[in-house]
Amino acid sequence: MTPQQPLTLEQLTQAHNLAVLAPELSLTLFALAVLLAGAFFPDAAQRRLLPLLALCGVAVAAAGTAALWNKNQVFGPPDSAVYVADNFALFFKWIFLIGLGVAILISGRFLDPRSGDSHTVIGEYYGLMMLSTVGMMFVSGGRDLLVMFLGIETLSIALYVLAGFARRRLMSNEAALKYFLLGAFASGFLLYGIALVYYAVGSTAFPQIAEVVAGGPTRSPQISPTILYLGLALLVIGLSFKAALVPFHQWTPDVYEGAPTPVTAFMAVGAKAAAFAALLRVLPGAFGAVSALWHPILLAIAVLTMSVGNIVAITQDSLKRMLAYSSVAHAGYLLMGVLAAASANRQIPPQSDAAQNATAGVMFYLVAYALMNMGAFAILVYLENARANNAVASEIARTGSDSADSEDANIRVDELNGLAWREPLAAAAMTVFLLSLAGIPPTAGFFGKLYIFREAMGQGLLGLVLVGVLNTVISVYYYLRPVVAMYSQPSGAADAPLVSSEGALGAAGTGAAGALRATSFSLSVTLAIVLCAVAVIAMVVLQAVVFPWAHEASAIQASSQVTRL
Amino acid sequence: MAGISVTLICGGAAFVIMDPSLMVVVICHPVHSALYLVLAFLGVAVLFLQLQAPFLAAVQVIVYAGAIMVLFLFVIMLLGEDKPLPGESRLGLQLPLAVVFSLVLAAQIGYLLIRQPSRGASVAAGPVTVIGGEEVAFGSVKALGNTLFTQYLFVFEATSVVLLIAMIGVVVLAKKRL
Repeated sequence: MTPQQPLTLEQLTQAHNLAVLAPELSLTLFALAVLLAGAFFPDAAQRRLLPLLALCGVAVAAAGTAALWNKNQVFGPPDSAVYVADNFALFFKWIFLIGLGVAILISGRFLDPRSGDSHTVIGEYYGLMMLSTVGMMFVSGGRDLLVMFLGIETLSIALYVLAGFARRRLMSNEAALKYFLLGAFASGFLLYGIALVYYAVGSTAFPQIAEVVAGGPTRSPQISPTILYLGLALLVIGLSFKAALVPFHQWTPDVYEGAPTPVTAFMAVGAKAAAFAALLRVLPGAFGAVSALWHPILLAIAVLTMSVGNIVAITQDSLKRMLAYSSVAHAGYLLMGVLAAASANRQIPPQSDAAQNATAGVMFYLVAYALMNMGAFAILVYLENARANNAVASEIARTGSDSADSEDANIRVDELNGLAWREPLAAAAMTVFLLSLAGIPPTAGFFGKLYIFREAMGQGLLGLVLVGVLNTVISVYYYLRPVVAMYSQPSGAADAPLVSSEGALGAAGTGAAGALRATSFSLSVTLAIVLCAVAVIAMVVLQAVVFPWAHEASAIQASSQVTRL
Repeated sequence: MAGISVTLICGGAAFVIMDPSLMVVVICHPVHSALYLVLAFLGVAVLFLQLQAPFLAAVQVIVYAGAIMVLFLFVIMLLGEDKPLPGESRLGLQLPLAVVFSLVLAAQIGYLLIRQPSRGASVAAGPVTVIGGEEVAFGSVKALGNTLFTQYLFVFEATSVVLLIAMIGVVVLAKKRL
């Protein structure tokens, strides 16, 4: 334990420099503004104003993050600060902001009252999404188990609510309830683990934990190391749940499928990135000294996660469910990078450069994952919008009433048949995202996998890399299935866009009404799709810039832990 | 001797926490469930006392067992507890007993107020924290405040975001008409 330094008020004020919290504070303030605006403006104005306000918040927070880059400041007394704004945290903040920005762009249609879901709570929707992002930022910057836990709770509670935001859809309710119950359970594991670690180490701060674990592994010989290991195991279980690692992934498909699609996109990217920020700080960071203990276990988890995610994804017919399992599989690849970083640290002397490379690999992969996954979900939103429009149009044609309840069913792969003929651009963009998810060359996903596999190979994790490559091959099958469907000839009756059961009426009503309704909101969805697609392809060139950034960001974290060790 | 009693208290408190916690989940009657939760909170308070954190113990009793659980009970009853409302007659023996216990409690508080234990005795007994060159008892209000508002200032402030989210979430999910 550090001795309590008597600090004067001035020193304390100086130490708690609010500028360090610029991204969090600005995003929180904008979230509050969005919430208030949601209370006072009429619905129609909200629908136009609030996304803009939220996007302003994203922009300001991104600028704040950029201003802090390389400053490496801490919030609090320098040696005992629990919150830091090192490059590692800042890089992750950008990933979260990418996720948030795209999620805001693709949310418009879902909040349309005509979709029968959520009236007048637009402010709360955007507000919760932004506050959830603030929670993710807490996780990335926390240098203490308490901050990490608090951040995970902040982001999770907001996500529980967002998952159930479509209050009139049973699947959404089920998703929220399931996510909440299992998530609360996982939080219990996490907290219990923190308590045991605190008992064994005498501190919850990562630097102190690293110090004691390297020397002890507990703070006194009377305390059995078993308690520390038990605590670590519980900690890993809690974090694995949030990152959706097998066998703690069972909630993923149901929650991803039930939640409104923009929310699914947001949590698939943000929550996963936050969980990996925590895993990187905790495992190779604080508990690097006992990595011999957890390394084999996580190795098994990585193999399981990749294999189960990919193999089960093959059998899925719902696109959303397939993407859910694919996100599980991607967590496995990411975990491979974490393991490579730990292996590099384990060597004597610690190969800090190799550890940095591996950490940077994980961070780069998360950027690529954020872009391609957001893009794929944006396409899904686009297709759902199109289908809902058609459904509404046909409903009006048939009964004259305006209620769309057909959104319950998720889009199936075979509904994509012939999409390339109706929507050539959407099909092309979807192809880009799917190829990138599969890791096929001229895309971001390829470089992500390349970096991680290369680092894992460098650390001698040959078996793991082999499993990873095999899984990539498996994944190509189910990623290409929608592509094949999109580019295959539409077969007669399936010509009715997306909803084949509708028949002639739907096809007839589509033209005028559908085109009318798709206007303003699908513009932002299209923008999101185009941005993601361009970014995914441009990453082929940009990776030469982004990877060094990630490397710079991982340097701070790795070097601080190396000196501690 | 001291060690044994400490173990006894600790074990007792653990039992007092575990047993009611189980009952909270198992029992069907929501009011009983809430009352068991009060019991569990009291057990936690005993553990805090034993860890020489008297302030936290007091807060645990006053805020959790007191205020929060009363709110819980109010809400449960508002949401339509099916049992018939207890009439005047059903209080029976409870009324005089309540008066007696209240009097005993008042007498105890009065006795403590008059007797005024010598200050500083408790400080010397437990582990101490040094703040600004001054020794204060670990777990005292001062030590707690010092930790909360210096090292864990960020955590303290960040908690407000969690509470805000929870509040919004409840309204969004549970309100009948939005």
